Formats: sequence, structure tokens, C-alpha cells
Amino acid sequence: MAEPLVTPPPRTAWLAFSLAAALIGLPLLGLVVRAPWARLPSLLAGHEAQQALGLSLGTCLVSTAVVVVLGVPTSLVLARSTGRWVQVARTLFSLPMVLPPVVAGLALLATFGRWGVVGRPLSHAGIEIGFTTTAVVISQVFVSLPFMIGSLEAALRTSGTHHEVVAAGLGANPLRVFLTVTVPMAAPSIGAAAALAFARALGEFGATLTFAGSLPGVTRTLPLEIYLLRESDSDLSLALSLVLLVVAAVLVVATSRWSGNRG
Amino acid sequence: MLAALALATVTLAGCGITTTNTATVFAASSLATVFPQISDAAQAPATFSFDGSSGLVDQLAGGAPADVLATADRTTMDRAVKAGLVGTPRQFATNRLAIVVARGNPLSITDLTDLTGRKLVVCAPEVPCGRAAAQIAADRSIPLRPVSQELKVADVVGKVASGEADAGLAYTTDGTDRVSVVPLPGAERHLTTLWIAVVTDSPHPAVADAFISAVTGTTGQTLLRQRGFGTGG
Repeated sequence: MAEPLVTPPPRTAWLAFSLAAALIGLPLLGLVVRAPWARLPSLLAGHEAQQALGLSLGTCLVSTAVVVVLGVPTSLVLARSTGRWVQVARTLFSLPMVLPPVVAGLALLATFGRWGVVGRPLSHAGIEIGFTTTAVVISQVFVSLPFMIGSLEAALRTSGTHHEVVAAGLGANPLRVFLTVTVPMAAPSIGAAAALAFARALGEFGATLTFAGSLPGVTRTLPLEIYLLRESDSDLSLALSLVLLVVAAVLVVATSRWSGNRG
Repeated sequence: MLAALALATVTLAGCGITTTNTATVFAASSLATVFPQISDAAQAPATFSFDGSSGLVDQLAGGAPADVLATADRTTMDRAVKAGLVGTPRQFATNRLAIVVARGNPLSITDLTDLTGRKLVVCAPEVPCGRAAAQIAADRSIPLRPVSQELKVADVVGKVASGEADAGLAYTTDGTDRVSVVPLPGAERHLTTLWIAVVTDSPHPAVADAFISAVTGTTGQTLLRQRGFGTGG
């Protein structure tokens, strides 16, 4: 294939590029340099670290599973529908992405809290969500579901409907088309979107703190532990930050692999 | 574009510069009501940044520009002193832990022993209010079973105010229109001390001194007492 013609970007664009790279790169480099490398294994093997790591990993796996189960069909509905309501729905689903996390926490509290619209009847039935691991998962789903829907809907739109139409023409019902054509064909995009959602869930802080509380092993996820330890045990705090940075980097690389954006 | 960037930088930097007669005060959240009152009453102009004490020391260590640091306990101030962030600190008030409950105390909670089956929130042992709570509980041999160990005292009060928790361990001075404060037996033996000091790199040390004098002087001490703090006098 012939190289496409490209005009070189202006020099000022490269200047902006360098500034942007420094702005994002330097703080991350700073974290890597400051991290207590020599003590890293012993720090991460400690009880507190293990507890927070385990809780974060477990809750993020659950929330990502929920995000996939809810997000894939939702993305399909949005990608294959037309009308004003689609735009309204799309706006609704993208709101948590731009909402300050603490506002998300207050919204969840107002809904699922003891005195919330949903929480109050549940509380009467003996079910209380606040201060439980379930609250952590709900917070994570709330903030990460939009990432799944946003990226998958775009992928489903651009992938087109040709194969789905053929399958339907051969007599497959909509559910069968969805399960045997749409989902397998979109698998890389689903994987990429799930990785993105997982990364977002892993970093969840504000909504968890507001809605779920902070108890070791129950609701104190990695970001909360890092915030708490940042001065009393700054080495452990930095070590855990490094873990989050590495996991985030791996997930971003995985995302771009799966969505086929090879440079 | 460069010009725009440069302009933005200058404008942003400009926001940090206060007029020379105004002190920038970093103070523990528990002082959020009384410090502005003292500033007004003693005509010691100040702009405030209220946060958990530990967070404030962090910000100073990170180079945040401030003139005065006021912490909610000795340990946190000691850390700032050891790091060379502040000059010699002075104790200016004491505070004691208390049980915060929903306004009017509908569950009739009067002691730690009334908390069985109730949702209790405390501060994590890493922050001042949590250290004091752990000491009092150990002192009285009453194990605490909190549903959450919050990262700062304001979050404890918030959880009680929103009704998510039945009770919280916070300070006597944390009463609001949403929460009532119940004295905590045993807290008098574990008073927390509040400390104030001039920041080493203060751009306006004279203004900083003036604010500290206002806090430690008659006007400040009277207002602190009215708010529920303990003072020397």
C-alpha cells in the first residue's frame, strides 16, 4: 500500500507537543523516581497493602462484569436506534464522565443511602447498602459504565450492520444475531472498552469516599489507602501509587491493541 | 500561542499573590467557623484554607504558599516542625472528642456502650481525631466496631449529618444545625491540643505574627471558648 501523502505539522505544533508531553510525562516520571524501589516487594507484601490491593482487584472485576453485561446491549440499542431520545439517552449516559466524583457520591447517597429514594424501602426490608463492599461496586459501575457505552457505541456504529442484516435474512432472530454476530465481531472493541472501564473503576475515589466510607478490607480501596497513608507512611503510599500507574499503563496499551490503533 | 500561555501563567500566578496586610492561614477543619470570626473581630485580615491537619502539612511540604499553620493536634505540628516548615509553635486551645449524633439525639446515645448494633463512624488512626478515639477506647477497654474509618473529621460529621451513620466520634466543637454533640466520658483525659506557628517561608511574617497574636490574645481566646474549645484562661 502506498504511503498516504502527509503535510508536515507546523513547528509550533511540535512546540505544543513538547509542552504537553512534559506536562503529562514529568509528574509521572516524578512518581517513578520517588518510588521506594528497594523496599517495593516488602512494602507491597504487607497486610495493609494486600488488603487494599485485593479489595480493589475484586471490586473492579465485579464492577467490570456488571459494566459489560449492562453496557454491551445498551451500546447496541444506542448504535442502532434513531430519534431525539437517542441523543437524550446518550447525554444521560455520558454525564458521570464529566460529573465531579464527589457529586456522583452525593447522588448515590441521595438514592441508595439509608434515607434515599431506593435506600429507604431497602432499609425497611433490612438491606443497607452504605458502608458495604456493594456500595463500592455501585460507585465503580456508576463512574465506569459511561466509558464502556461511549467507546463501544462508536465502534458498533462504524463497524456497520452488513453481517447482522445477512444473518437476519437467513432467519436468525434478533437475540441470535446479537449473540452470534454482533458480540463476536465486536469482541476486540468490547475488550478495549472493558479495559477502559476497569481502569476507571480502579481509580474511583470521590464517590467511594462519599458513599461507601473507608474501612480496611471492606470499603478502603487502593486510592483511599493511598490518600490516607500519603503522610503517615508515604513510602507505602508511593509504592501503591506505582502499582496503580503500572496497571493503568498496561490497560491503556491493551485498549489500543484491541481497538487496533497500532501506530 | 506562546504569548497566550505566558499570559495564562502570569494570570494564574497572580491569583496566589495576596495584598501584604492579609495573612494566608492554613488551618484544621475544626477551626473553620471560629477563625474567620477572630479575623473579623481582631481586625487581623486573613484568607483561609481549611482542611485535615495532615493534608495541610502535606501541602506546605509541597511548597504551598502560606503564612500561618494551625493544626488540630501536637503530632501533626511536630511533623511540620521536624520538616523545617514552620517556626516555634504555640499551643492556643484544647479540644476534646465527643459523640456526634443526629440532631436531637433520637437514639438516646450517651456513651460508647450505647453503640451496640448502631452504625458508628470514626476517624482513621492515622489522623488526629482517630488517634484520640483509639486512646480513649483503649483507656476504657471498650472495643470500637466502626463501619468506617474516615480520612478526616469533617467526613465523620458528614456521614452522621446525612443519616448514613447513627453516631460518630468527632470533636465537641463540631455541632451544626444537623448534628448534636454528646459529651464522651473519658475524653477529658485525652484532650487534643491545637497549635499555631508561622510558616518558615512566609512572604509576610509580620502579618502572620499579627494573626497569631489575635488568636492567642483576649479576643481570640474568648471566641474560641464560645465555640467550645478549651483555653488556658
